[in-house]
Amino acid sequence: MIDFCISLGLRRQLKARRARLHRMANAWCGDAMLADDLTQECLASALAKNHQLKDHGKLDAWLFRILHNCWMMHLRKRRPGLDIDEIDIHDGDTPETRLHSQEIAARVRAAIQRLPPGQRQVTTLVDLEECRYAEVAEILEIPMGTVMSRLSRARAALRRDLSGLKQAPTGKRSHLRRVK
Amino acid sequence: MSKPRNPTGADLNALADGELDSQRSESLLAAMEYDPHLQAELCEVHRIKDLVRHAHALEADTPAATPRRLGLGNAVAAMLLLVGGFTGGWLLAPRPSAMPGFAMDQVTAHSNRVILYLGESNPAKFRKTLGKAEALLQRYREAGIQVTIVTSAGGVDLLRASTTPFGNEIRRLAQRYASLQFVACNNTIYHMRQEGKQVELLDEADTAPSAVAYVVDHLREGWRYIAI
Repeated sequence: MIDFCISLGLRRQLKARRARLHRMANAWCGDAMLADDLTQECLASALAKNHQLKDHGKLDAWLFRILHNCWMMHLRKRRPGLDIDEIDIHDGDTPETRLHSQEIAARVRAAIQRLPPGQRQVTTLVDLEECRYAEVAEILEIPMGTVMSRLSRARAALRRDLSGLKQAPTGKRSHLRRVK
Repeated sequence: MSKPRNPTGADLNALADGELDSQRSESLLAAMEYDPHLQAELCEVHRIKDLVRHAHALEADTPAATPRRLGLGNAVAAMLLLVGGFTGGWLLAPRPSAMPGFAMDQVTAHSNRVILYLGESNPAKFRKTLGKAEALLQRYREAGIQVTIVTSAGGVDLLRASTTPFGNEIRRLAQRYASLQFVACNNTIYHMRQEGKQVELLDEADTAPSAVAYVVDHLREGWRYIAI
């Protein structure tokens, strides 16, 4: 009965986090369908291993670590024996992104996809989920120094790649503006 | 006593991500006030963070991640918004999670209070700032508009008796518009004096301990901010 209640509570919490997990999976793999699969796999794995979650305050970090493991598993199956930093960088310049090249979001997503996977994971965990560096280190099982260096390289690469974008990312009116 | 090390890219990332302790954050922000290059670098970090968030925005009805930056992080977030506006030309969109009590959308209720920020010693920009101030004061006189011109770094030259080419214009504006104020950053003045420069401000100018803090405080109170 207790297990059933825990499972029910966890299911609710997982459901509330599904969209965020999917967003992260999509940001990492750049493929919405694969992101669906990874998210499902992550949620199923979380339910199956719910007894391993000792601290419910760390549910998010635990889930992102499972998602990370799911993605690593997928990459290893696809190209066994490769280190994460050695995987070829996906071009991201697909017909779809070319069609939407005028759209800032599409350009940024393509730029994120051009990052090596390790850098992509660090920057999206920090910027999308506002994870602390220590949390990212824990989720990805890498040293803090590696988190910081990957983040620096990722942002430098994004900056080079997106240097032409000088307009606001949303159409919302801002009250901070520069007068030229 | 060891000399403070120069800020690195990792330091700026850590500041933008709220990972620095209060002492290091304060010293970095203080250094930034006089260093346009550092301001621009931080603005770029902030711009990239905004772009990444924008590119993978959640649907509106999706519960967002629990905000993890509290306390000092919020103050830093406000300063980041400000420093971003100082130099980068980046239009910062409202971010609901940026800071409790600091939603830029709410500023419209007080849009008759405007800060014009000037951080560069450039006569063309001096003229533009004064022109913009007068245009606002004339256009929104009925609404009781208040305008404050805040200067920092090279912008302080606008208010220095020995460097401003617009002393008479500033006097005229101050006499004509009671709701127009001129503020110089005392931090900048201190550094100028350290460099041996004579700094005497026009009588119309007030000082604030720090331009960054001054603008952040006023943004919190709902003032609009325009960087020239």
